[in-house]
Amino acid sequence: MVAPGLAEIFYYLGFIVVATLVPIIALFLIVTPRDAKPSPMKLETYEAGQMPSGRGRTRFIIQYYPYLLIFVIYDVVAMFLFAWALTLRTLQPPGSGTWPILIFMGVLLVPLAYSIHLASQRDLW
Amino acid sequence: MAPLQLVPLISLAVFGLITPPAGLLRGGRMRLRPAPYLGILGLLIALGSISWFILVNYQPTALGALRFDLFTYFFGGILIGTSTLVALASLGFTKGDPNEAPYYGLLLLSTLGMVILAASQDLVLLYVGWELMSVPTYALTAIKKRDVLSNEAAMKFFVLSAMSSALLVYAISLIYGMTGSTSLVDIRSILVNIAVSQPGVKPFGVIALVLFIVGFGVKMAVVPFHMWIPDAFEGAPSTISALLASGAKLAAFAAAFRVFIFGMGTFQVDWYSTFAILAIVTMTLGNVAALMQKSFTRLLAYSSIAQAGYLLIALAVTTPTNTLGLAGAIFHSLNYGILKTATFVAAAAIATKLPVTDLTSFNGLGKRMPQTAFGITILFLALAGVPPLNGFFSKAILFTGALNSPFSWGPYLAIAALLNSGFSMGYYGWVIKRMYLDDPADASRLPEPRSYTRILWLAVILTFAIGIYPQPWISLSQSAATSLLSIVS
Repeated sequence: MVAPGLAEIFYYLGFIVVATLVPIIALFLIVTPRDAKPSPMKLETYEAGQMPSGRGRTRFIIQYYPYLLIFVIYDVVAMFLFAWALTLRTLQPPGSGTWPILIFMGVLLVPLAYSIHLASQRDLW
Repeated sequence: MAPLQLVPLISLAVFGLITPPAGLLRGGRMRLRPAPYLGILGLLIALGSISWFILVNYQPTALGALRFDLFTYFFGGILIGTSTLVALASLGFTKGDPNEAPYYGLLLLSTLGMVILAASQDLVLLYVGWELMSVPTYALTAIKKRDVLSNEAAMKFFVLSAMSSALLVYAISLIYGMTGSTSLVDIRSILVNIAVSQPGVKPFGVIALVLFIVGFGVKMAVVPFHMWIPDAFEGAPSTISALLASGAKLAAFAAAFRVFIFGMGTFQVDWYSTFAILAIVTMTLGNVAALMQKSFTRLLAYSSIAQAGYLLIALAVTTPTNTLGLAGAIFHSLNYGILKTATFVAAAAIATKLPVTDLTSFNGLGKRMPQTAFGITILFLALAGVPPLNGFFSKAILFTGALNSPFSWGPYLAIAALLNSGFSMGYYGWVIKRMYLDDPADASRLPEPRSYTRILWLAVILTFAIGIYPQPWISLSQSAATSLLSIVS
């Protein structure tokens, strides 16, 4: 609840002023040296030197990528298993960590089966 | 043996994960849809276990980065309760939708994120909860895949919400750089004398504070960051608007209470007056803009912005010695959760037959849809704060908290809130007048789907029950407010 001193206020004001000026100067530097000669070719879609054809938005064929996505998500489970394996021997009573991890894996396998089912449905993608 | 406190979280996670696959179990002779009921079962287990922890077996505990005190349980109960209302109301809306099962799964996972947000006392876990809450809601907003408005709403919501997450990460990294810890308990103890021990880092703390305000403010619907709210609420399915307006916003408020009042409460910077100004601007702009709306869902969206302004009072006036404002805000969160969810459910009920984007379709609704019109009337009166209903008591405590605050501007804040509260009756009363006094172009009786009217009646009963006997809820929210400020090991 201490009121900020004058010097501090100037500190923040300076921060704001610099943060506002930098983009303005940058924009200014882009706009001024530019040679303004509009031509229809400049407005065309850039297609790596080819003559542009068709619309920019197309349906992308996803092929096997759903399986890759599933792998990336389920790869994280290995980390949990590693943490579990490190502490398994110290758990008391011995073997009490087995059932929880089996339930954990079981719960995670149901959505895995579901996502593989979804990945095989071509009309969804 | 896993700690019992985790039961609500585990229930939400497990049911959230197995609900989408359960949608495949259909066909043949089975007429019952398994997925929605599995989702509702998971929510009810979580709600039941949280009530059990509050009523029977309350002991504050901290499990690593999670903290289970009365604040967590109370807010968790509110959040899971509003999600349960949303899930029950969606039963009619999702019937026949191919994405029905993922809808309930995403709803449960989003609720899990909200509860984690309310329970976390570590900034990293808080961020995980924030993302877990946000990401499912993007997909839920666009659940009608072929609806252009829904997609537009989801896109706007996604861009702004992703920006708010980025700002939160930046704020967290600055705080970590200052204090060397992400635990709010450590941050609280380090920030006490940071002005003496490290005088140079104070500006970074101020920047972190501002970034926290912006990051949370996008979800809390604080005024300079409220632009996405009306568009998103109008485009999204009304039940999902209910979730965004009550659940997601209240979870953001819970996290803000935890971070500002608990974590940064000892930081020697005057952020209280910032919140006071934001509160006044938010409630005034929300109310004035709501008065000018022609669309019912936009009116509800601006009224939810105004309500966010009332809740912000708690952040402005709560100090370790004055927790009355926080208690009022916690109580108001409960009432707001019930009222806002139910008003959006009423909008969904009307939207089945009439365009809710036009207020003229409300003319003579008292005759055309009597149950829905009665429900909206009671809920609007409660939102405006008419005495025998629940909104009155929470607002009274909240404004008293502002009056009792140690700051000189406290009374002005209370007066501004009172004036706004009276002003809001203008547009609430306008809708009620349209429903009961104006003549419709077509006076035919319209069917009211049971899945929506059930929720409306439940909300009306709760509104009256809490309003007529508010004492247990007031004392509960006061203990929740004090439990937020105590340190639990």
